[in-house]
Amino acid sequence: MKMKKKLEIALDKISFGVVLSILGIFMILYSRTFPKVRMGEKMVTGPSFFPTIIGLLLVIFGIYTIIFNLLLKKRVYKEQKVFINLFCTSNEFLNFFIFIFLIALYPTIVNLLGFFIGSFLFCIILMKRLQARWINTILSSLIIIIFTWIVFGKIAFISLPKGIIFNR
Amino acid sequence: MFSLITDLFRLKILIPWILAMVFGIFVGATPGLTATMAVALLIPITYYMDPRAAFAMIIGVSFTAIFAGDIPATFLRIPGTPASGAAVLDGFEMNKKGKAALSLSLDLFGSVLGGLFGILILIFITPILAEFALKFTNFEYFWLGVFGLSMTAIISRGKIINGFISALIGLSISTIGIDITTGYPRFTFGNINLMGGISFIPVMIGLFGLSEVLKNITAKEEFNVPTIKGFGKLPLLESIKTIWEYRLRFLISSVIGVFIGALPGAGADIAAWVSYGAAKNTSKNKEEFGKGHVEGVIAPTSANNAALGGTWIPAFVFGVPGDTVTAIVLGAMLMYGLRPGPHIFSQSKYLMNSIFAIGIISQFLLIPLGLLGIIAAGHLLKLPRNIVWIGVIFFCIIGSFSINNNYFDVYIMLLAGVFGFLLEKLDIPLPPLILGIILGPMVENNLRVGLIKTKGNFLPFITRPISLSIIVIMFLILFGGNIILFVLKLFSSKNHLDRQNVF
Repeated sequence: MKMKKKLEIALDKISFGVVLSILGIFMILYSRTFPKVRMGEKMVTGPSFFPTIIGLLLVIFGIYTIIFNLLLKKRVYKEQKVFINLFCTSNEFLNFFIFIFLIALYPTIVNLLGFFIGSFLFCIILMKRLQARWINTILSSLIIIIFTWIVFGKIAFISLPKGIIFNR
Repeated sequence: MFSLITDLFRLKILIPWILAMVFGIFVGATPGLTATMAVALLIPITYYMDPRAAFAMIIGVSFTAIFAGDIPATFLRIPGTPASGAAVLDGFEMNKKGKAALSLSLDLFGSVLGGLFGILILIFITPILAEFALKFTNFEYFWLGVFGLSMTAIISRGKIINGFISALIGLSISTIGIDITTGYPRFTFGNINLMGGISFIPVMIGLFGLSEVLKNITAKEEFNVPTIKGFGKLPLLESIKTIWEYRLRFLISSVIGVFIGALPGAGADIAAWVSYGAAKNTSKNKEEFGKGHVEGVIAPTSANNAALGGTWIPAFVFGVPGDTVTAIVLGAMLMYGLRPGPHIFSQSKYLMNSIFAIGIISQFLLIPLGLLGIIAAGHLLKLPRNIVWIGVIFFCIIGSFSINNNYFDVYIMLLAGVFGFLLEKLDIPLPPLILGIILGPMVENNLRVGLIKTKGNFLPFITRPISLSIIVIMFLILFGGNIILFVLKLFSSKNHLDRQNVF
């Protein structure tokens, strides 16, 4: 059966162009608050010089991206829209956010529970999320944690967190 | 010289060196994990080590990872590292013909000999270039930085605009922190963690390590790596004979590898593709390419390891990274208190000689370790993906934390990972972003100091002989191919018109 292809504007690329332009404008405006530098009577290139150039280039490339994708009718199929196609299923969408959330939470977890217990829980949750078997999950979590502890804690002398709860 | 080599065989250097090479085999043979990532993960560990042990680990891991990338490329048609992309073509076809063992033996010996060639060129060329580089001033260094940034056009593979956008984002990040010339804090918003700028290593770990994991966990794939069957005995003698038979191909590919590796911004992956293309274009058996021809295995594998030696040339001489691995190493060198540039050969002569010796010895260590790696690969590739990815995430977190014992770097890594994931979805290549972060301070400081020297006059930037030479070389590298094609086209159409006039 021949599929009917529905064309749509590349919203993701246009949004990216807008973000680039805003970033560029912000850099230019914020750089204006930096102090001016003088050598004698003459003004010389100060701390705002380079960020202003970069900001300007970002605006130019941002506008180019918007125009290229909007006015030049650079189009993609509806199925290819990035914020829809970033994740194939809701499960993968969930995976992404759970992983990000847990990595962001990791410092708090290990600060509370200590490196060993915190890391063990962290590894178990992530591995189970990726459908690992229980025996694999427990064994590989232990191996990863012990290996990291030896490499970082014992060889590289990094002070790994002991945890507030168990360190009282 | 003898004491220098015996020093390298002391246990405190040799053990981490071999362990790093074993780690390199594991990383290279695991699809998705790159040599860049392996080096980025090793940097925090090397921070507390003797610089020779640190360099032994970095050099060892990069050579082994690039070789080991050919293992899954041959077995599974999945390149272990980007540099093994070209090895997929004929390696996998040889595997289908039941010649996986021969293909992998060729990969191993091609890598060892190519690597040796690259290191020898590095030893003989670098000191000569360093003497020349001593004549460089701010004007020349500015153009060198721009030259490095212009390599974005090559490494972006047809997405030049996207590459430049990526480099601009990197340059923007490089402006964060205290301004070196005036001491004024820029874009720090009162956050003390940002005063020293965005730490380079967590950004690297996030961009290449975490983003790869995020890409895989959101892909529509099973989390279990397919298993592979055994493949019999390794025909070592036959592979050496084959390389000897195609020695000219090996030599040409190695030269291409070193040359491309030496271009700031290009790397082993580009070298492998270019040498494969050159081999295919010039071989007598060009129709056999892509069907499991040994030349198609020898060309990319010798080029990518030779390129590694080449990438160190601009890194040592000019402080400009040859590829992403040397980009990280440049950051690490500053961490060890070394200043890359022409003076490094006089200021750290012993260390430089040690690095050269490490490069050569690593090739010989690669033979037994590579053989073990090939044999062990069958077992390693059976590891389920979910375990490998969680291990990577864990290393990303602890690796970032360990740099300053600071969780701020973990958040930077996380941000870089998410950012890298989204940028790749938008077809924005990541290596130019790294070039931007690395080369940003070099370009900015030399431009500003140069302009202060000339009282705002830009003319000396383009009129000095070396500056002008760099501009011309940059122009030729970027547009030379197009110019030649244009001239050829013009010439052929003129001939065509002449012929038309005759008849």
